[in-house]
Amino acid sequence: MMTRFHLTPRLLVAAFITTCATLGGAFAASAATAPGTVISNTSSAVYSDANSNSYTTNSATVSVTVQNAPSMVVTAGTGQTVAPGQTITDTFSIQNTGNASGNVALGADATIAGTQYRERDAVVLYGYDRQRDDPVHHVGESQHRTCFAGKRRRRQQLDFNRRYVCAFVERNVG
Amino acid sequence: MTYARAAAAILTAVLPALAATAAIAKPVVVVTLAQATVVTAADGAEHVAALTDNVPVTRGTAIRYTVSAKDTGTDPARRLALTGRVPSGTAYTPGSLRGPGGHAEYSLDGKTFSAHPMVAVKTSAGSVLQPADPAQYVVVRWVKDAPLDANTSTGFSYEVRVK
Repeated sequence: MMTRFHLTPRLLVAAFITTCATLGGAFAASAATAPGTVISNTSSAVYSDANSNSYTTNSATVSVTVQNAPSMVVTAGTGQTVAPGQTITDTFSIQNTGNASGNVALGADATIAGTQYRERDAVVLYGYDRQRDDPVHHVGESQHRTCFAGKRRRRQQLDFNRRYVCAFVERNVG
Repeated sequence: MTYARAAAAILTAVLPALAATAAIAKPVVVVTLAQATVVTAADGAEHVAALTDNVPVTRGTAIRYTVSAKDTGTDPARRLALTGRVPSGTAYTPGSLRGPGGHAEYSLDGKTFSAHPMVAVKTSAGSVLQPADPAQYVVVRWVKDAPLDANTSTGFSYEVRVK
């Protein structure tokens, strides 16, 4: 597993260090149906009359089109608390079971009780971005963390057919 | 088609009332297919929503197909078998077939049907027949036990999941 930390001295007191790592290889599932595929179906009836003459008739065809969409299954870390000055790692397993790449926002439930988040520490790290359209960043709130794959500054979305682990290293700055 | 049956067909089309009194009564089954999405909530409750043609779905979407048949003729339809396909890009949901008064059969090739399709698996002891993975079904068939009376309806449903 590849894990990287990107820290500057100023950020050593940061509330967050976030890493995002990919578990190599596709998970054991069949290949996704390609977006744009039309799934169509026709039913039929076969029957006989009293003289054993056989008849066949078909229904009209119905169809749907497969959409290009990621589908994230996030297994959240367990609720933990951390004492002032201590660091804790909260790990999320993320699996994109869709048929397109995408990113996933880890909501407020990703927050570990007892950790603090400071606006001035909110820099984009590998695997972490704060949502820029979130108008409120209060101390103590660390919600709307988004997990991306890829290297710093070359942020990539999460491939489908892969499993990822997002590890949020949080420190209670007391 | 014999002349007598051809004549009956014309009568059926032109003079339905007359045809009903004619000696040649026959079943005429009309089959329809409907599709819906099925979402199972966390509490286990099922939410079924009609799915119109070309509404986008995505991987993992559960689609329920309902095959309905009505005998619009003048005589019961005997040995009625309704089939539905498991479309390419989807897999049959095991155990999802529902239909009152009939039994289910499945096909791995669209030609031969069995209540329990088997596949040959090579082992050290030679080729052994084992139950096929339901994900390999390509067509499902529902065979009605009793004849379908004229002017009555029947049907079955089954589910697939987008791969």
